[in-house]
Amino acid sequence: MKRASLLIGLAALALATGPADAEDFVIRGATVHTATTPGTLENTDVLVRDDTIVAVGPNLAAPPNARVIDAKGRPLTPGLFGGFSAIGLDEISEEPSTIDSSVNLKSPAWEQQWRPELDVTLAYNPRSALVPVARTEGVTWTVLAPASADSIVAGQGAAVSLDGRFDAVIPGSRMLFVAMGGDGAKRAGGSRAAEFMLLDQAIQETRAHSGVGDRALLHPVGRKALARYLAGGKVVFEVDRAADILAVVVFARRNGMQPIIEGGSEAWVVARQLAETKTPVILDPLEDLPSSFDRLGASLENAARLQRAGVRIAFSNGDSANARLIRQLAGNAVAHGLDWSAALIAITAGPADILGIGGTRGKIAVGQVADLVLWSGDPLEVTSLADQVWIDGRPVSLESRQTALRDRYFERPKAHQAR
Amino acid sequence: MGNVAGYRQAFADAQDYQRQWDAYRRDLAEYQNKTAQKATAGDAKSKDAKPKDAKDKSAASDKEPSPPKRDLKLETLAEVLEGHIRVHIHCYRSDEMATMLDIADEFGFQISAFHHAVEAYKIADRLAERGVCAAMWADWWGFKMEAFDGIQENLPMVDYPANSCAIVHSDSENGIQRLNQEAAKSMTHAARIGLLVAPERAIRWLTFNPAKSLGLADRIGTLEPGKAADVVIWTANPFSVYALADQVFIDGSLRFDRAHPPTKPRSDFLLGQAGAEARP
Repeated sequence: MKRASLLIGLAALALATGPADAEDFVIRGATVHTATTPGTLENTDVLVRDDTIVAVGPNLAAPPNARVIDAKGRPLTPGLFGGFSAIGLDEISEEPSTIDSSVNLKSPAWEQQWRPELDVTLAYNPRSALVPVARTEGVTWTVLAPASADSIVAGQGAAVSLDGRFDAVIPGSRMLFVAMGGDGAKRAGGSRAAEFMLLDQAIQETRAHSGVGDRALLHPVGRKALARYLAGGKVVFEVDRAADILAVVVFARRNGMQPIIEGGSEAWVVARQLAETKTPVILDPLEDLPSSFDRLGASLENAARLQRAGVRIAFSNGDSANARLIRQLAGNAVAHGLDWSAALIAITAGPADILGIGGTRGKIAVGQVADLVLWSGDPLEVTSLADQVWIDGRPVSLESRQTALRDRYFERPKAHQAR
Repeated sequence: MGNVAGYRQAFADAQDYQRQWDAYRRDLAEYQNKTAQKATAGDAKSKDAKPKDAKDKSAASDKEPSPPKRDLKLETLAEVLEGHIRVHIHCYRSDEMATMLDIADEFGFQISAFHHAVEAYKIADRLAERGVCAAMWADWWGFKMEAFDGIQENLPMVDYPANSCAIVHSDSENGIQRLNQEAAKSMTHAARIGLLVAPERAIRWLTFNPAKSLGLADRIGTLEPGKAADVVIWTANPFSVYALADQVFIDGSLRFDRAHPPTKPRSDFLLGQAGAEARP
């Protein structure tokens, strides 16, 4: 009895904190970039009921109560992916009191405890100032990614919707984050080989359902968490060097994990193997400098070469405050040889499919959640802006702390004589 | 908190250092003058063979004055006070920029530019009145408390008053590769609030204005007769994400040509290493 009423209470709370109810609407006469099979549809309507896209096509019959938005030919895209970020986890990256994306147990490699059970989504704050900054520019979802501190296993993250609701996690998107390559080696006692040694130990402990020896890497809860990933779960490996990428793919596949490569500066070097093993890569296409020995092959053409080889790609700059720059990443990838629609897919349907939420997010298609953006011009161009944004079928305010600051201070120069 | 006391003390020390050197130069000049006079008098004496005069009253200046010890830190600040070295200040917050302007007044020097200047838009009129440039990002913000008030209209709002000097910068080996796009983003956000920046004005954010802030505007920063032949030919309107620098001339010499890789700058670092093929 008591338990049941508590559950009802929680359900009521969830409703009370959610955004206002969606109203039906139809966007008429848009250039619809579906990010899926039909590609781009000129002069097309999109009908939204509740939170879902229910029709896409020319001259749709809309219910009489539906609001009509005249797109006047402007581009309409799915809501954009904000990359792997810590939006709502880390408010100000250099302000330790505002950081929740990483856990540092401060133990040396030889007496480490791994906590794969850590789930950073529990620390997500939808009232973060970063949320409106991202969504006013068309970013409607992101992946909350834990950051590695002293262990190569950072913990688990998941995709969240940026509409401001508290229960923002998008079901089916849970993933584990592991730092490999040169970055991981620092956390594994100094060698890349030790990353695999420690991972092997953790996997053995998980399979044996007990710690090995008196220095177990995992708690029972950690073994349970890792077991899910050894049974086909998505594991995001942060790794850049070509040799390390291949070693990770082989290791992950052998142990039942579904690897996703994050970073992948040299992924193009092993593009054929990545395509053959259907291993996706989430990259920053602007990462073009040989800034470490892991990235000697960094290239502005990484995205184009991977795509040509048949590798599934998505973009991420890992910058929570500037997740909105995802469009600029895509535009530059086009300038360096990537097909325009492939670039759009790399920030919409691509990441949604790779991260396991493609059934509801990332495309303009019947049955998809209505995360939509109407643009002033070419959505990949630095001279375009979002004119209107909808998340879950609800219009999103285009105001943020930044626009409020702008409006407060713009009065000041305006009061003076312009040049 | 202690910063401003530190700056003021340093400039006060520089003033003292200036005075020491001024005094030394005065004494030296006096000494040299006297030595020259003595030489003349000595010549006269040997001719006239007059008896010795009364004691020299300024016996001290008989000895050559020794210079104060050079202090390279104070010497630099003294050069600032004399207007020979330009002052570029790393500063995010508007109140701190205002404080630095007060310090400049107290000690009588000019600030060329504030760098990062994330809150410059809050004091845009004041910066313009004082002829101070601000070198800003298009949209970096939020990584530390000082950068929490960043907005995407910083550049155009600083640019707006008469006599302003807005500069777009990157502070990044990656961002510097596309300052044209950074300017384009700022123009676009400005237009949304009705602040229209013409492209020929916005291009000055990454050409003339930085040259001016460095005191080089007589040599670089505009395309006009007499200036260094530093020219970029673009594949398209530079305020587009799709535009690439096609040919780059520095001092009249073709230093980058997209169509002819041999002119691309090459480093020895990648020579013979795996990865070199990334940049054919």
